[in-house]
Amino acid sequence: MILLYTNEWLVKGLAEGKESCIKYIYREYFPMVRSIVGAQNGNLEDAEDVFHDGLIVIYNRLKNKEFALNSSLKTYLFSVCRNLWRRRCERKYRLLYGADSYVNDSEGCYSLDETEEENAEKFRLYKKHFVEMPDFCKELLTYYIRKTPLPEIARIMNYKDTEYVKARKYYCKNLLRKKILSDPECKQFMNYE
Amino acid sequence: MNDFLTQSHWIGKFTDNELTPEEEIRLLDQASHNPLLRNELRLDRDISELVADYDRIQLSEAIRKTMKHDESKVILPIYLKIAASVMILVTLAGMAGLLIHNTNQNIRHALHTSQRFIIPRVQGFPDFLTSIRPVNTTLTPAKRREFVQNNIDNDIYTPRPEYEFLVGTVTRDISVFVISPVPRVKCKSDSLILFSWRWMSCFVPVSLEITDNHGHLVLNNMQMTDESFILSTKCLARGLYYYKISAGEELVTMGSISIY
Repeated sequence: MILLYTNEWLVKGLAEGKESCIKYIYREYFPMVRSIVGAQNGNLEDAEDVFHDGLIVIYNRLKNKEFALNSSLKTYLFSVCRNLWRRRCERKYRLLYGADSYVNDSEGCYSLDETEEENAEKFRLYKKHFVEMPDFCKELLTYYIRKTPLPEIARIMNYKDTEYVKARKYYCKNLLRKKILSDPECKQFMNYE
Repeated sequence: MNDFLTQSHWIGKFTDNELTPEEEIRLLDQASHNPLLRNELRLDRDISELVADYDRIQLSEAIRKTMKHDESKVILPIYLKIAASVMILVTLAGMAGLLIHNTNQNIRHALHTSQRFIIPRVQGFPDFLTSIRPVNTTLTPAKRREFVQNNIDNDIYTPRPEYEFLVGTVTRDISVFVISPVPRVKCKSDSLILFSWRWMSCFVPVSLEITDNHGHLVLNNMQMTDESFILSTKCLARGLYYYKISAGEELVTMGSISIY
């Protein structure tokens, strides 16, 4: 059954992470993102990454109480995704040719803050490596992310004490860091030394 | 340097502010000389910040799940979807039509076989055509024409039992004697048929009735004072007809006319 959502419902649903809203947004707006990416030789995977990052950026902005969406979600998503894809292309270009290229960022109120874009991409990268980690690490870090108390984690995972939980957590985070740092994509946008 | 890298939990502890002041100073001192360690410290801080929002992680998972779910579906181009829809509709319409035709055929066949003599004939569209129409829908035009023609021929020459047994076996009135025609007349469609009779004793008006093989009256109640009557078959279609000559209320003779 196809339901028609209003802009307000979509924005609210996205802010709350409703799956039905995300499905609707994906079904209705993803072709638009695919056309943006496809216009500059991007493939389906690129389009999915841009779409994911675009939604994360909008979600981050919606979390900000001062932010007010003055246009439709589709228009906003279009602008966000276009900027994301342009900057990604620019970054690739710089990596390939080492050129001092500059993308004209004249998108007015829709232009992205550099950190927002980077955060969205970093988040996707972390998420990608997170799902590839061993199961016990995923479970432990998930509890950690959920801010579950350490004694509770120890009880659930049958660890002897909270110190051991901490040690395992540091081990897992270390593993995650190594995985991320060894990823070529990491070097594309991280300004690490 | 290697000491810090191998003891990776120091980095995590630094992010979580769980290092002692001495350990922290030592770590920062090492980091000031070691870019890799600085990278790790920044990355660890970033990871902690980015994964702090559990809702965002759930949203990310939901987006990925939606995309994976949709990837598993086969996305057809729009023209293929339209073509498939049209084909489905045509198939359904065909099946429905076949069902209706079969139903009609059964009903009409039953009517045709059991009640063929009471179905009223419509001018210009004989009732037998309605009964055979569903049968030949799948035939080619030539076969259909042949089929219809055969059915027409069969139908228009089918004797009417209730009249047929009266042909040639009549109760003759003593007042009128029929000379012609013979009980069974066969003629072409542009022929003339002579009806002639003689009054034997007294004058009684003679009437002639011609009906087709379905019992429909074609020529009706002609009160004739002459001793003959010529019928042109041009006005009659091909087929089997029955004539009845009566004198007053009494039947004089009955016969059949087959026009081919």
